[in-house]
Amino acid sequence: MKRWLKKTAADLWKGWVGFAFQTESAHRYRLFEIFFPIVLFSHYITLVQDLDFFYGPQGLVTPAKIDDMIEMSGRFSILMLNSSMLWVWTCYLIFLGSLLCIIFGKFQRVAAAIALALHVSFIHRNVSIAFGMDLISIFFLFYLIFGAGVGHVKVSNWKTELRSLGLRFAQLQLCVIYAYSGIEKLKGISWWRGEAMWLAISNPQLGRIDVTWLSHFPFLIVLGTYLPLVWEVYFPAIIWIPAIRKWVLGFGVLFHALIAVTMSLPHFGVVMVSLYVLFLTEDEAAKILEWLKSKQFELKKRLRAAVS
Amino acid sequence: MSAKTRSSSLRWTLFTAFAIFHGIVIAVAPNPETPLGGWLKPIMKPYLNAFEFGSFWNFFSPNPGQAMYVEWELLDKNGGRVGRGMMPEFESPFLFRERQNRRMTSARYIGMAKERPSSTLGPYLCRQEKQAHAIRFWASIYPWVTIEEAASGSKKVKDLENLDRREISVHICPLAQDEQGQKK
Repeated sequence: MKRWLKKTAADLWKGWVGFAFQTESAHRYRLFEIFFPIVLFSHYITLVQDLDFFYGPQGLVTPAKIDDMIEMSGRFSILMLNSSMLWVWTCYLIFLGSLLCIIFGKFQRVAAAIALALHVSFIHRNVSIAFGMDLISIFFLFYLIFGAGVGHVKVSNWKTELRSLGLRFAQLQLCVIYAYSGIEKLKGISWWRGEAMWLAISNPQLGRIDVTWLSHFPFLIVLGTYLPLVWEVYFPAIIWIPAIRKWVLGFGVLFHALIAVTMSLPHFGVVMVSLYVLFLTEDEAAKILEWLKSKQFELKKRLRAAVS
Repeated sequence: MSAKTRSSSLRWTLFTAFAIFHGIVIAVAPNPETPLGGWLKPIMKPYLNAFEFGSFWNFFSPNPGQAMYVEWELLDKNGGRVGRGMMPEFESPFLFRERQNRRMTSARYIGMAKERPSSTLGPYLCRQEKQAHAIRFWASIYPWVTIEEAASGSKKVKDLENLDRREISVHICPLAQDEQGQKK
C-alpha cells in the first residue's frame, strides 16, 4: 500500500511537471506575443484623443477624487506620481512602446512587466471607464511576463519551464473567463427564457442595426441565446478534446464576430479570438509564424524596392 | 540525486507553490461569496488589489444591462437653465467606436450612485461651464421593448422618446458655494 501510494504520488508529480513545465510552447507563445499586444495597442490608440478628458488633471476624474471612486489601499497608479498631462503622455507612450517591444520580440519579459504596471495604473487612475477588454488584458499581460516566444525550443531550463507555465496559466485563464461568464448567465431569468440575445441586440447603446425583423423569428432568438450559453459553460471541458477543438474555436470566432458586428464591441471580440492561438498545436503555430515571416519578408522587399 | 536534479526539483516545487496560489486566486476570486472565497479573501486581497485581479466575469449577466445615459442641466444662480447635455450621446459621433464605449461605461458607473456625479462629471462641468452655479443630474434608462411588443408594432425598438428619467443628484459648483459662504 505504502509503495503503491509512493508510486502514484511520483507518477502524479511527473505528470504535473510534464504538463505545467515541460510543454513545448515556443511557437504558441510567440503568436500570443504578437496577436494579443497588437489588439491592445489598437485599443489604446483609440484613447489618444481622450487622454486629457479621462486622465488629465482637469479631466473627468481629478487626482483628488480618485479615492472617492476606488479604495486605493493596496493599489497603485504610476500616473499619480505626477498629475501633469506631460506625465500622462509619457506613460502612454512608454506603454505603447513596451507593447511594440513585445510584438517585435525585443526584451519581452521586461516590456510585459512595464506594460502591465502601466495598464493597471491607467485603470486605477480612472476606474469608471474600465470595461471587459481592459480587465481581461491585465491577466494576459501578466502571463506575458512568464516567457519569451521562440528560441530555446528543445532545451529545457528555467526559462522554457516558466514559459510553459505561462502558457498553461493563459489557457486556464481563458477557461475561467468563459466558465464564469456562462455560469453567471445561468442566474439570469432572460437567459433562462431564451430572450437575452434580444435584450442585448435591441439595446440602443449597443445595437447597430434595426433588429425589429428578428422579433418575427423567436426560435432564432432562443437559439442565439442558448448556443453561446452552453458553449461558454462547457468551454473549459471541450476545448481539451483534440477531435473537436477546431469546432469549439471556430464557434468562438463566429460568436465574437457576431458580438463585434451587432453590439459594437470590436476590441472585446478581437482580443478574445486573438487568445485562441493558445489552444493551437505547436505545429499549427509554427506554420502561422512561418507564413507571417514570409509576409514580413515580402513587405520588406517591397518597401526596399519602393525606396530605391 | 545529482545537483542538477536537486536544483530542478527545488525549482519545480517553487513554481508549483506559486501555480497553486495563483490558480486558486483566479478560480476563486470571481465568486467571493462562497465560504472558500470568504475564507481566502484576507490572503488574496493584497494580490487582487495590486494587480486588479478581482474581476467577476459577468458579461451580459445575470441579464444584459439596460442602456443608461447620464443627462444634466446647468443652472444659473436663479435656478434658470443655461445649458444641458448628456453622456454618451445617442449616436456615436466618433470614428473609433471604443471612444463611445468608454463613455457608455463611465455613464453607467456615474449613474449607479447619487454621490458619483459630484466626484466626476459635476466638478468637470463646473470647470468647463463657468456660468453654471449648479448642475442637476439624471440617469436615463431605456425601457426594454419585448419581443412581442416589437413583433406587434406596439413599440418601436430603439425608440428613445420614452426614456425612464430618474434624478440622481444636484451638484453645487465650488464658485457658487464660495459666494454663498461670503453672503453668510
